[in-house]
Amino acid sequence: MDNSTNDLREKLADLLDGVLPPEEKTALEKRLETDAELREEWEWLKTARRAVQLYGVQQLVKNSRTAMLQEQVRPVRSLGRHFRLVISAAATVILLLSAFFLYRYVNPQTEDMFAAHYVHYKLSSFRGINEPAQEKAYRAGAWPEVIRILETDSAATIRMQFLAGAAAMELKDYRKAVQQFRTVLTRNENEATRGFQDEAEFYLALALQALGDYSGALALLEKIRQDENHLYHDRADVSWIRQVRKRIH
Amino acid sequence: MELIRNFPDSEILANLRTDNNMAETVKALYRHCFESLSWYIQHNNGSPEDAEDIFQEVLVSFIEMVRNGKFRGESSVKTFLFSLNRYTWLNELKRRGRQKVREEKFENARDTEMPDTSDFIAGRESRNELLKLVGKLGDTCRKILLLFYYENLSMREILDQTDYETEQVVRNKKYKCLKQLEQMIRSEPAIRDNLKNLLHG
Repeated sequence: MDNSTNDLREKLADLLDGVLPPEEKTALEKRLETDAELREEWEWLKTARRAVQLYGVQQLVKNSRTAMLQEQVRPVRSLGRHFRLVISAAATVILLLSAFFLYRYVNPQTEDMFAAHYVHYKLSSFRGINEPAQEKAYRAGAWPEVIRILETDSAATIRMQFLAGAAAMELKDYRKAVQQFRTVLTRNENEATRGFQDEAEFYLALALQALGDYSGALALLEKIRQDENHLYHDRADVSWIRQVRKRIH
Repeated sequence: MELIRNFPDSEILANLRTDNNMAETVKALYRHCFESLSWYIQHNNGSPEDAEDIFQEVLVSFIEMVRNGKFRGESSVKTFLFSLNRYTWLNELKRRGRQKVREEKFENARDTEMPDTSDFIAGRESRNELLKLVGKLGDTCRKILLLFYYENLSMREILDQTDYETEQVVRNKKYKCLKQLEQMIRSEPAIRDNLKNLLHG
């Protein structure tokens, strides 16, 4: 590497720093337009400067985050005694409430866990001219009637059985719901069909959970989660599965 | 008692562009966006640490995009950050080779997102490599380069913060450090190829 090359490189660095005299700046910029090798040198230098600036921003973000976390735990000082007492009392209440909610979050009550995942089963808005009586009753929210119709029909379809299960869920009669959903699954297996299969699996998991049968619920939830094409795949999320699993151990 | 201010988007962008009140602006972005962006990652196979790392990476890139005029305000800051966060996380999952989440979700996300974040993803690997290389510099070199190119201090001011005797010595040292970093970057194949593509198409 000769002296002129080194000199040129130093000039490029001066150009980068904005300290090159105007006449030299113009000459160097002209040369950059025609000299590909020099232009590449120039790009490398700019990349090095960009790297330093990026690093500076990264440090700023990290430091701001650290400061923010420290501010959150910094004690309150230089306030009046009365005000400090009020703040302390409020902080205690907040702390206790936070502890309570944290406990509830980490160890959710059965009903919380149920409420967080339960969704009312909604019939499609399309209604045929001869809508069956059970579906009419379901749309009207007449849950006992939905179940009664099923129980008096000796040729009940899988759809009717599922709706009776969904109605039982609304009535919080989880034993009856489990019975209906299991019937749906058994019939599908025996008849080699898939009528309301995904729906029955999801609601059966919920009903079992409500009854405290966490192993049964977990097996279904894991099955749903593993099947990306399952209608309820996204609902059976990892955090729910984790919560149910914790109930078993 | 410190009051927590809500910064409107216009103020956030103005601060980032002009390097004004940066620490408070970054904190405001954390307060405004971190929870929902973190939620997204933690509900898509990520840990709280992943959420924290990705958010920091997203902020660094966002600040750079604002300063380079690549964020034109076509969406709100929060929407844009959410989009960057999502792309970065899907890209990270892909990088980690998690088969289950790979192509389909990534392609779906690309179809449905509005803000254009393609430049960001294309340069993600190079950017992270650049940051690592600066981290590998010696402490003195890193300090001088940061004071000059990031803090925009003069040679005189840098002299006050170092043990060197004259401004010329600081200037020479700064030049050597910049060349050293440049050489380190040149020897990184991923960055070299990326830069050559940019230069020669």
